[in-house]
Amino acid sequence: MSRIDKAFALKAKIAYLTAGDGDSDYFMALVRAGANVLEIGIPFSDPVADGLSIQLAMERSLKNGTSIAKVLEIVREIRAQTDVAIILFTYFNPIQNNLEKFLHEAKEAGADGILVVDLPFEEGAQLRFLCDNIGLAQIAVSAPSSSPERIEQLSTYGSGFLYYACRKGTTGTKDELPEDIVSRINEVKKHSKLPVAVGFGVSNNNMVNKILEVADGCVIGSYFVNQVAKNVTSSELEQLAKEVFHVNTVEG
Amino acid sequence: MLIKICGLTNPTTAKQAAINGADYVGLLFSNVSPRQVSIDNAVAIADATRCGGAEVVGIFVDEEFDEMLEIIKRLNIQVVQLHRDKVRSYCTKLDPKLQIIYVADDKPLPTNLDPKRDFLLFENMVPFKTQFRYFIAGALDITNVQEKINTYHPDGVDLSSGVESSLGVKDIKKVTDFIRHIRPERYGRFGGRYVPELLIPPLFELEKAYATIAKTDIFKQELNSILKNYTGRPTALTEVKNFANSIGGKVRVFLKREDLLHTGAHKINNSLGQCLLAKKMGKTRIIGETGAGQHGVATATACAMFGLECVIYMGQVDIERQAPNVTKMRLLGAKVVSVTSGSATLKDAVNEALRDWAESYESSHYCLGSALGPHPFPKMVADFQSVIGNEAKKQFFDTVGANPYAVIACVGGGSNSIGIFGAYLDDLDVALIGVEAGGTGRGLGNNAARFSEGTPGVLHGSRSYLLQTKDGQIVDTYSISAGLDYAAVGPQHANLFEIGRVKYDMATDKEALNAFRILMRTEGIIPALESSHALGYLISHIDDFPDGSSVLVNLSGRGDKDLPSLISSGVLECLV
Repeated sequence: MSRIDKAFALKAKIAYLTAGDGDSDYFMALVRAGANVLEIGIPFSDPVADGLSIQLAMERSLKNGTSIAKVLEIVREIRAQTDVAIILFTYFNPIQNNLEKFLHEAKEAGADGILVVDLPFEEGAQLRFLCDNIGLAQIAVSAPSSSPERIEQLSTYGSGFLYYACRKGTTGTKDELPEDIVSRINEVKKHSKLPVAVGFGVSNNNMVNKILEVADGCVIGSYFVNQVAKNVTSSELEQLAKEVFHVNTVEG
Repeated sequence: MLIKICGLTNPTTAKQAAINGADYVGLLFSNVSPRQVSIDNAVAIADATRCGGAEVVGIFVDEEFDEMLEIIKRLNIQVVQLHRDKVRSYCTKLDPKLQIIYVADDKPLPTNLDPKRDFLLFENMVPFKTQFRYFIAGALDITNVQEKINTYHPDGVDLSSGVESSLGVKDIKKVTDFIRHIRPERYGRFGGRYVPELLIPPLFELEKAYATIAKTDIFKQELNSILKNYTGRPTALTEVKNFANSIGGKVRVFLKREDLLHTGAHKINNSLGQCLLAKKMGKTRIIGETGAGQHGVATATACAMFGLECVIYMGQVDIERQAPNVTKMRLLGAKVVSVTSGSATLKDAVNEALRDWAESYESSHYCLGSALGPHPFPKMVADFQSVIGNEAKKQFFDTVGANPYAVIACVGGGSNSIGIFGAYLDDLDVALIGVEAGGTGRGLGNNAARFSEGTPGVLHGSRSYLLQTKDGQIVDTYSISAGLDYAAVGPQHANLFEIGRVKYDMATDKEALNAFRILMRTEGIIPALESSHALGYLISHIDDFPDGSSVLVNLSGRGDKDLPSLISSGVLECLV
């Protein structure tokens, strides 16, 4: 069973941070807090799908001199310490020039999958083919604008799991989930051939519990990124992550 | 959808096919084919194919094994296509690194074929269910290919006779038309739709509305009437004799006067077109980005007239250097949002506009200001700006009795230039020259010269030439002109660059300012700093133009907007 499948055999708790933004032990703090999938962001100068929190994280990371090689080094370092699934989150431009080489290196470093946020499946045939050959999951994103037919296509095109970005706009913490979240997740699940993880704006324990009642996984990003921006210690991040990931009901 | 074109017989056509977007170019060596090529010719075709960015396929029909190996070696072939039983039987003996395109029939497949690497090819037969990627082939042409794709869902299409003018002779126009038909979102290897999933359905909605609403006679008549009665089209074509004399007097210089248009630049052609379309789509709010502020003012103007809400994103650096335009936008009722992220210029304004649209696409239209961004924007903006070239071409011909020797325009994102070049693309005897911002000179970061210092990449929804680091991070650009200060260029320009139809060069700040001064003093016309780059190029390269030739320059906008920043930086004092 792949590491991703293992995470989704339980409820997947997916945690995002940008590589090179603060100490890489932050990732291990999230694992210690119960994250069973790490989403590791590759910084990009023009992250149009992201809100301010992740934009600033990517700016900090680039200022620290984070290169693609450095990101892969961080993946290797984390892989040496844990067996949770690792997904690389990226924009297309930093990897497009050496796509095949990059994917091989990512696999070798210990990544299990890749999510290219600005590569819709119309442009992604080559990526899918390479990922299949190399043995990486290729995570597709479904959005509130995606029709049922498109959700089905996305879940056929993608592999590993389907990421449902549950609101319009960009990433960033929000206080509330959309009102119709349960029915929307059920709708996505109905048309998806893959397990469904839900993210975008998830930033407290109530939201996590409400999502995990229906979805197969839950993604938290900007909330953790904001903690890193505040220079919390690893153990503080671990404590916060434990609280936010705490699941009230018996896991499925 | 992969595109393979087979039976190429000369290097020029092979290269054109490759840079226009063919993924594979196939060569035939067997004398059973009218498209047979000699080995020496094949070497030249293979080089040209690779130079254009496509993969060479060796197509084998009835060759002896040694003969085939010799060809593979001579041409350094990585992909072979195997047709008849004789050559298909070599399959097991081939170097396992070779990628095989195996022509399938009803016999079992050889066991050494690898679905992770190889393709099947179904020629005139219905594809069977398979884990292999596959091409379909068999008299495909522009009239039947879409139906075949919809029926058989192949990974690629294989073309030969469908793009020939006569037996064995490929017609490059048919090749490019075919590729455009399959990939309307692309210009050769450039363009596309690289946006988050969220924006894909809104882009499809826009594409559909553009293809239906904007192509109707009623829409065109309404827009033309506005362009005539509201913005003052057609704009004048002015011969500037004093200017020409002051730079040596050897060429005649004609300016297409987009500076005389309402709001002072060509941008209004596009803003009115898009806002009219948006209104007919039922959108109530318009988002725009702006660099020099000309597109912002044009969009704010169109919104005021059509009764639409307007939000313009503008980099803080540009807000400071284009103050009059900011005031104008506010007076016109637009909300101007200052963007402070990144380099706080046009690139960052586009980022913010895209983020807004991702939130608001249901009620809002993103009125992109240049021939940039994801499909259908580059096409739509070029269409709305084509009025410049269509008018100028006729005016010039009526005045001079011939086409110009050369057409020169500045290239930021590339909308004024594609607007005027478009009318001349098929007139191969007219030289087309695009002038980028040379800033302070050579060196990444000192300019916005994408074709001199950039490499292909993906930014703001399309693949094009970008100023970027080796790791794909976009670098800061520099130009005195806000409208040219941008790290990417429209995808059609990238294609025109690669096929060699347009020559791209740069003019520095200094050259632009010199032209700015000369045109004011000799003709009483204040050009925008953007347009001054086109004139600056002409002045510096005047020796390249034959004596007595006529040159058409697109004066894309007027320069009033630039005066405050020139005053505050002290530059104006040096000019007066």
